[in-house]
Amino acid sequence: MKLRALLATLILALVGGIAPMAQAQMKLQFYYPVGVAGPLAKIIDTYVQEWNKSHPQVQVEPVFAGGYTEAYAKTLAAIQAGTPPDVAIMLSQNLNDIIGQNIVIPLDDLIKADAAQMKMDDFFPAFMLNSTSGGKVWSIPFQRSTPVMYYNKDAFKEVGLDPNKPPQTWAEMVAAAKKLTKQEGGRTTRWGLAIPSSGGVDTWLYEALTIAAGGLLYDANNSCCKVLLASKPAETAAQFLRDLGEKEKVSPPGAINWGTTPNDFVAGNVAMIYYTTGGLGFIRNNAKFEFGTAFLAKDQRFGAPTGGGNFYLFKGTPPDRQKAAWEFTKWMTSTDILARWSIDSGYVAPRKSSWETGVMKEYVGKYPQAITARDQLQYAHAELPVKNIIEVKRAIVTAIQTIVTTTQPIGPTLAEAQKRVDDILK
Amino acid sequence: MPRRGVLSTLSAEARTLAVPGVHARRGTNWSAAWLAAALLAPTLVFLLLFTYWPLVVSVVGSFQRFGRGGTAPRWVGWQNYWDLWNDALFHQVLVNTGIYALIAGPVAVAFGLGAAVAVDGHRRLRLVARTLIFHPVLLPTVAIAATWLFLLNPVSGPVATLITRLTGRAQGLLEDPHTALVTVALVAIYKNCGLYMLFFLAGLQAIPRELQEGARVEGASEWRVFRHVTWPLLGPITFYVTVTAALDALRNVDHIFVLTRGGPANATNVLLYETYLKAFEFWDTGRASALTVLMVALLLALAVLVMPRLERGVHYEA
Amino acid sequence: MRRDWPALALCLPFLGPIAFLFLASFTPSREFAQGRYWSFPPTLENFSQAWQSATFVLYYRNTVLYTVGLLAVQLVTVTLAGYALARLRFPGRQAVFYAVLLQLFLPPVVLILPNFLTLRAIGLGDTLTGLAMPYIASAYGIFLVRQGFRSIPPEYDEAAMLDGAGRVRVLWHVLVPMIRPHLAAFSVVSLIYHWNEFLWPLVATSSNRNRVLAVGLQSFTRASESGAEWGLICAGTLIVIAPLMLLFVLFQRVFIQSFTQSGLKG
Repeated sequence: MKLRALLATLILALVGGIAPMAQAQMKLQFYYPVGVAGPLAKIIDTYVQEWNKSHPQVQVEPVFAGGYTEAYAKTLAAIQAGTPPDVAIMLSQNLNDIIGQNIVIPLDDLIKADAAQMKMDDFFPAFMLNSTSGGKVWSIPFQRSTPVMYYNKDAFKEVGLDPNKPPQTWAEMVAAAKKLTKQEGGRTTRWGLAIPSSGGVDTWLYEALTIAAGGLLYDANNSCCKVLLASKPAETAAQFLRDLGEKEKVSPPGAINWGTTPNDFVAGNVAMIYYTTGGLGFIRNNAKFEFGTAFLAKDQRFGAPTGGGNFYLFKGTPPDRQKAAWEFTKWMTSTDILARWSIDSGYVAPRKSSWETGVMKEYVGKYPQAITARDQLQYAHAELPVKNIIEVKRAIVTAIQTIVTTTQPIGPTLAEAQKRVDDILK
Repeated sequence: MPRRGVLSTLSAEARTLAVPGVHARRGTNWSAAWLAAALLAPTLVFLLLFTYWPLVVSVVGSFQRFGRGGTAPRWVGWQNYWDLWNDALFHQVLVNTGIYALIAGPVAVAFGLGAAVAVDGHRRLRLVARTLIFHPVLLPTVAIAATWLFLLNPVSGPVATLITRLTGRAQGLLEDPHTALVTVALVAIYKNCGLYMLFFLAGLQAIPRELQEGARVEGASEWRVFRHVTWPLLGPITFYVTVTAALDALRNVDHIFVLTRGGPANATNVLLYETYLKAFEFWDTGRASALTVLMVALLLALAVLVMPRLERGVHYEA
Repeated sequence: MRRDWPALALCLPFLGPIAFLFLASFTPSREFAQGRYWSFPPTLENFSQAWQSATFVLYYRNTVLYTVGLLAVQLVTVTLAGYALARLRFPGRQAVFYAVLLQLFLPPVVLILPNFLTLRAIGLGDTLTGLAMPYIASAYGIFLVRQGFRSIPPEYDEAAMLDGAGRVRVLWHVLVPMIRPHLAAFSVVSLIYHWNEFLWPLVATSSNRNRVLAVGLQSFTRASESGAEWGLICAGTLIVIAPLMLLFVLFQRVFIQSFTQSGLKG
């Protein structure tokens, strides 16, 4: 009797484990990350459900894979384990890494075959920077963004600043932040400025500061393989970040967490933040005050890195599944879906045509904050695109976190990180 | 009526010889060996595949460098080890592991002992206290870590708020490289000390009360009773618990995945976590293998020190 | 009683976290941004959102299949191996025993990379079966069972065998029932350990289809990268630990005895 029960359980376990994919219709695995605030996973699910309803033969199973880093690691792990997804959104930034690993397919042939629907010049050139390599197109922009500065207009009015004239230079920004920082009974109840440097998109905003300081975090002539940490602009950016907390005392001490920043903003705990335009939806829905968006302040120049994720298709996917995955990709990156996604989230619709649609025009009329990121595109640069990107980012983040949480000298810290990164990129 | 066959007519000695395997007195008993082989086969197969073969794979892999995309490996001899030796990050990881093991090991054991001593002997409170202190042992480490992630978050965490009010520091414990490692170790203690407490409770109860009473009657203070009567008798248990705690400190890094991801600035990066990063996020199989080999060496050293005593077991009527 | 206060003081840090977790999961997420960690009146929105965001039912199913299936196989292998090591004399017995015991110091999670590669090589990457494989040989279980058998005087075996029973029958009908407490203790410990396991399942299963509870929960909390929705995270945590807590409250004695015995019984 006991033996039977034992056997039954054993069989159950085996069946559960090797559960075969006996399916009548095709079921595509779609990995996607969400790196911004808000119930965006639900919105993606909504789009996928729409697709599933209208395409009964090709069902898509959306798999939320966490934040960008985690999702990328998971996708790689799945590929290594021999069970790759059929289609995935990964950071556009990971392009060189992904190409180096030889796991995705270039899309030029597919694009050519669908030339009518996939006019690549409909996509903003800034977003195509991290999508092309070696003259080929490797991924299609979907949830793209640049960081912008959000500022609390009510707080501006409160301290006598003009709510329609956000600061344009670092100096102006610090001055404004000083006015906005509020102390009550020895505790700071409102900080003037918060530029996150931990948790999530760790190097992005540091890149933004480096660009504003006149430089670039990587060598544009050797974009796959050379990082420029031990450079003047990178040092200036690091010094600025440290000073905000330590010297000027307008930012919370230590490394500010990306995930809590939009919450802090809508709660009124901080008056100005650097955050992705992809958080616009969340902030719009939760802020109980008037807020504005502005270009990131300049030091030497205006500038920002692009960010966000693209659609990738994978090598080794059987041709019929690949075809289906391509159809899904085209659908998700169509003018209308991109417009809706932009409105729902705050990401910049990467197609110019999306901005011409009726819903978008109406939305922009109501919320002019949405255009800031799009207009900033003229100053945008590609995001750090080197290979072995996960390890490189971790090394850079370690340096930045050391700089903002300790008093170790900046020059040597960056120099050491530079050495480490060079080693990683050998 | 029990069946009495031919065996029962033999002498006692002859009988025992006739039964394979039991009390074989001279020579190799081959039928026992075959039976043993059959019974042990499944265990040995899986042991070989998942404990011993991996050692070979790791050693071999540690002498190679793999292309990050799984391209063909090439031999580099001791280069991986040499790179680790010269890597400041590796040194930091080793130091972190040492500090962490010290806190989540012996200190955790001390907590367990303290809890056992505090809880022991109070009839009413004992059951409640024991249940409360033990319950984290049954929960997933990631759940405990998630709870503490919330409690310690600097904006709204109740514990963080309390700490700010008491000490005035605004930076979260998990965000400050100087406090993160200790904090993470404390979470591990939180999870495990209930288990250690249980072992010590059993040990304490096995100590004859007369010994302790006798010492008290002779005027010894509580501390002296503990030091000279209780503590020595707890020796074997203390040994066992310390080994358990040390092993757990080395192999359980679940909470780091939730609390700090090895940060800030690698302050909470320990050996197993770095191995995971190198293996499954950087896909640097060669160096990850080298780290695995080092970790195995460490554990084997521990095993050699400890196993003989362990095999004898801890005999207690609990 | 003056001597009561240490025990009382200890209870607080172990009661507090659960209480806060509970309160927070009924608090709307926006309260946390304001610095509050609970609010009145309670809301169920976190639970409904958590339930919708993650496929907890699937995770429960996978975890049950994994732990119960694994235990079923383990009970067989440890009993057979423990018997062989306790009762049979054969050349190399001590060496085999040490070889088995060594696994206590080289748990599968330390060998996570080579084990992952092995699974991939035999085609069991991302399956629950593959997930269970490294644990089928359980040094811990074998140790317990062997100790259990050794505490039974061999005369029992002999008597039964002289009455004509073969070894297998002796094992099944006489010896195994006598080590029931050992097997029970092992079962509880194995179930709990594997139910809560995180790191090995993280790499051994990559698709959501095969994900277990602990991995699902960790993904869930890392969603804090996207906004630190504490109410949601606490609700999710509660969904994962509630059944365990309930079982513990109902079967306290069983759990505590199993863990105590597991470490100490000879």
